[in-house]
Amino acid sequence: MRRKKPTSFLSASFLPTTAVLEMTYRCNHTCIFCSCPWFAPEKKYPVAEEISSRKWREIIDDLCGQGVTHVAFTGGEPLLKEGIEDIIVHAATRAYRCIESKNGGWKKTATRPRLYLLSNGLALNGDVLKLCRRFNVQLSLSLPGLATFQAHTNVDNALGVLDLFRKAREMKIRTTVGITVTRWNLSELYETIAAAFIAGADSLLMNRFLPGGRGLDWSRELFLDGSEMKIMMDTAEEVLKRSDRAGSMGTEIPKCMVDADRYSHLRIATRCSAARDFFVIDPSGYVRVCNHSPERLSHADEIGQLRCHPYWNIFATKDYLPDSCGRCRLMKTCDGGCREAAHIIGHEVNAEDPLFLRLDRKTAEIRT
Amino acid sequence: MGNLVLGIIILLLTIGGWAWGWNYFKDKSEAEYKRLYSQYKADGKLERSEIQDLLANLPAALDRDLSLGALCYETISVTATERNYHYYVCPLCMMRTAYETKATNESEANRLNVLMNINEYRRLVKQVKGIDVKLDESQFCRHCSPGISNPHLLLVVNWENGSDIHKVEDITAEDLEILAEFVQGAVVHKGERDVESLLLDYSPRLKRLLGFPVEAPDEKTAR
Repeated sequence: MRRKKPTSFLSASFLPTTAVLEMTYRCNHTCIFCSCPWFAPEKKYPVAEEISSRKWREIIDDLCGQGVTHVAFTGGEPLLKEGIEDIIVHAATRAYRCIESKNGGWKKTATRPRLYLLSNGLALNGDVLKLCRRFNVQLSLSLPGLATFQAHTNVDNALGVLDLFRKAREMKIRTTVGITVTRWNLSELYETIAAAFIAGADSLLMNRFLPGGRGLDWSRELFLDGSEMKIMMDTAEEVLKRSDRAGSMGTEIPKCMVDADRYSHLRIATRCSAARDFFVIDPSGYVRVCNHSPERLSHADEIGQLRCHPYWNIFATKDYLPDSCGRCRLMKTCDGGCREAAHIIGHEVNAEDPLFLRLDRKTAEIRT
Repeated sequence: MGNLVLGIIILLLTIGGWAWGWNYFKDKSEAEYKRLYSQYKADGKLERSEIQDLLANLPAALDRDLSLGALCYETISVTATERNYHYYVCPLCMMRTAYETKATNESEANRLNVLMNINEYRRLVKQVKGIDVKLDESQFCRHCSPGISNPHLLLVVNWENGSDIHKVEDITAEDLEILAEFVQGAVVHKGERDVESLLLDYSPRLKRLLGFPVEAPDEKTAR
């Protein structure tokens, strides 16, 4: 008798498969839109001593043993971390055991984790590019505008980033242009995406500006309202269509504010992935549910404790839908926007996404 | 002639009286139901006998028209998932079980539908207040239920402080909606696009969900 194949399997652990590692608090840009919680004006986020590169390697070993298949290096600026190259090499030579769904069945495999490096490019040199090439590291470079690049970052390096895209293309390194869209760079969004693609970027990762970190001081100036957000998505779709490239929105949008079917090249997310598809480890080794989150949870040394952490569980089980969404039928496939932006502005995880609010100048306080 | 006039008067009085009586009965029925509900719910919870009494007294008509719902409601279709598996996160042990998103039969399709909408089920069951009900998702977790090959979602109703437990398999979101509406004292069910229907029509299904005997099967109980 033929045995029925299983249609489900238990994961290696409770952890999501993507780990975002914030290598250092430090950065050589001072972006006004930066959402790193340790740059928030009130300095509430506990900044502890950064863990060593040796400790990072141990953590990566542990994560791969727990079913993590994708590792992203970010910061701050990850290239400012001492020993970053050794850490990347270490991660690239680990193997994780996974079970893949193939041809209607499950297949056990041992494979290398997929690596991503998210950088502003200022400290990125030929050696790092060679490393990316050698270990197939996908490179994501931040380009928040062309004419407005310096106003956003306090560094004049838009041409330097475009040059890196050219070099990466010559070396056959997969690249993504990362753009945080604000009121200041919205008017040159078409040119910014186009310039990155012409220089050699393969894909687009676009984020709407969200209040958080240093960006809290600039919320009123930078935050897009609903109509501006629509312009942002329409503009991106137009460039993507013309260049036949793929792009995605990195931050979820309330489904009632977007008709995702209108976009064939821009992938729009309406669900929150925090603690479901990815999680973050900060420079001192503490876990957060996502990079936007100001809530520091368990240390990586005691990562198993997350299973009993109420904050983690809220996100892992998606127990955070805003009451204001009431009986909305779209809630089945929508989380009401970014839950951490809602938390930061509305002080509750189940508050409304800031898109539904008006923000006061320089304070990010709510006026409904 | 006199008999004819008398006959007409009697006929008019009968019709008028019937109409008045019908309206009186109709209004009283809904109002009394609300009063009954408030009386039972005064202590914050509903006993089994109270629930049965409420079920038996659900109004058959209202003093207003039922809403047909908005006709030009903007809907946005679900974007297709790129993945070929879906992770279920167990709320008890937080372990993750991966399920194939390609269903090969109706049973697998139903299971996927439950998995994809599990948050909606959890949200809805929280709205069933006043009686002790909960979802039992444990069959979906390979850590909590390693031996289960064909998992189902259960609704568990605890009567008499857990001494009498009723379980229902394969519930739907609509089941939880009507249950939540019923225990909140509603007399209508608001369905897709806010289309209204009498909760009385769902009485057999409500009885089945709550573990009460169902007198005669109908199409709703057969669902």
